[in-house]
Amino acid sequence: MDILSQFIETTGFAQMTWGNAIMIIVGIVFISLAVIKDYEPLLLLPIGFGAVVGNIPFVANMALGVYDDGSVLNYIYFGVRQGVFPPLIFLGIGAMTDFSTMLSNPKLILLGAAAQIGIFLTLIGALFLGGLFENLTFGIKEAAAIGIIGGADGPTSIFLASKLAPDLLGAIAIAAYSYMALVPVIQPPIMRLLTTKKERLIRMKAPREVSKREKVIFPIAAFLISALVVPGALALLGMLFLGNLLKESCVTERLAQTARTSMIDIVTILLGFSVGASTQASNFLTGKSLCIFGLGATAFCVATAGGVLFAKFMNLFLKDKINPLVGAAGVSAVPDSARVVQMVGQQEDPDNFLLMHAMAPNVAGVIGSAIAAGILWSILVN
Amino acid sequence: MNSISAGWQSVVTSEPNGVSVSIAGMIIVFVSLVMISTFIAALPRVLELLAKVFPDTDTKAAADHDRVAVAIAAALYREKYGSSD
Repeated sequence: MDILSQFIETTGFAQMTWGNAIMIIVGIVFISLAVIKDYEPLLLLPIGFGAVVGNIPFVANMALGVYDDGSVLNYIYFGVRQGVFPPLIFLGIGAMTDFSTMLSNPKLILLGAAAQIGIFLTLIGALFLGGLFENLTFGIKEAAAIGIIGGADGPTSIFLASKLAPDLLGAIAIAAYSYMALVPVIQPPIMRLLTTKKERLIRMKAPREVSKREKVIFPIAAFLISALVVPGALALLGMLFLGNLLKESCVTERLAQTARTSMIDIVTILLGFSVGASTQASNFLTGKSLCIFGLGATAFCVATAGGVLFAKFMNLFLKDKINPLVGAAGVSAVPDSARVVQMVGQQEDPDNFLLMHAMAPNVAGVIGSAIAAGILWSILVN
Repeated sequence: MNSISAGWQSVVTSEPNGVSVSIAGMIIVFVSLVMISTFIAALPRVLELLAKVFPDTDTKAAADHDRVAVAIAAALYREKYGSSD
């Protein structure tokens, strides 16, 4: 009988806290959003299930949780903690990305740069908030890791958080992926607010055809330029451009195929699951996490506004006008933000196809946010 | 008013200064992407010059395709209308 009562004390039911219960519900909400609403299912489903797994309470001496040395989950989490998974994801992204539209209209790259303002203004915002509320004080490394959510790039957010603010990694990763899933909800009102109907109706010139040589030279040259300026972005951009070279060279189709299918899928499962499992209530349900969610939303909105406003600014000098909606795709979130641009554009003019144009700032945003992460890491590493 | 000034103090007294980090970061992002953009804009012209020295393999392939098409057309013509020789 004693053994039975001892066993009952070790069950998850007996040890369940309110925090665990809340996080399990959050996990189920994520799974529901993925299954019912089709919001970023490839990410939200493993993250949601990971959150459920990570919040099952267990006996203290059992090495089961993400933070327990030697546990299976701890080994999987190694890839997140040490920033191994994000570059591998970038390899797959590179192998599936077509940079043609960016190569055909290089000025659109600047929109990808402008949208990174969300990162840097949120960094200031996080420090500012710390000055207002004593218990929400963020150091500059933490502020930078929070700001990178504005890059709208999950792997980059995880990479920088693992380097600068490992304690906040779970909250930052969840915030980044949640907002990426909510791109179709967050961006359209900002895009409509900052543009006139006339601007939304602008039709852009069809992109020119890009030669195979340009496509092969681009990943090598772009890597050299960006990595020499910002060596901190070497791991992310190296893998991104390697993946793209595998694709565009046409001589390593098998490798490109593996990188963009099996490999990215495996890493996405491991990354999503272990990030979800890292959201144990005791670490996750804090005032700081809520604050990170608030700042992340702000970062996303500012980044969207930055891209749109910069497109309007560029139009002051351009003969062939840019549809400012395209600027909103400067936040990475590939390809969701480009799809949102297409959707909002077609609400005004069903015959206006902005998707291809929006892909240019979209992929430039991926490069821009990786560069921003590299800069912040380089400056704040010591 | 005091709280705003406290917030701002925490931005400027952080080590390094939060505003400086943000401005420097934004400038470096722009410089990097402007360099990539400039390179891409110049690339077609550079390749045009290079094509004179190293002809594009795509062009060769296209030329081969043209020759094959002409040969097939000629063969079909001969089969239908007989040889004009």
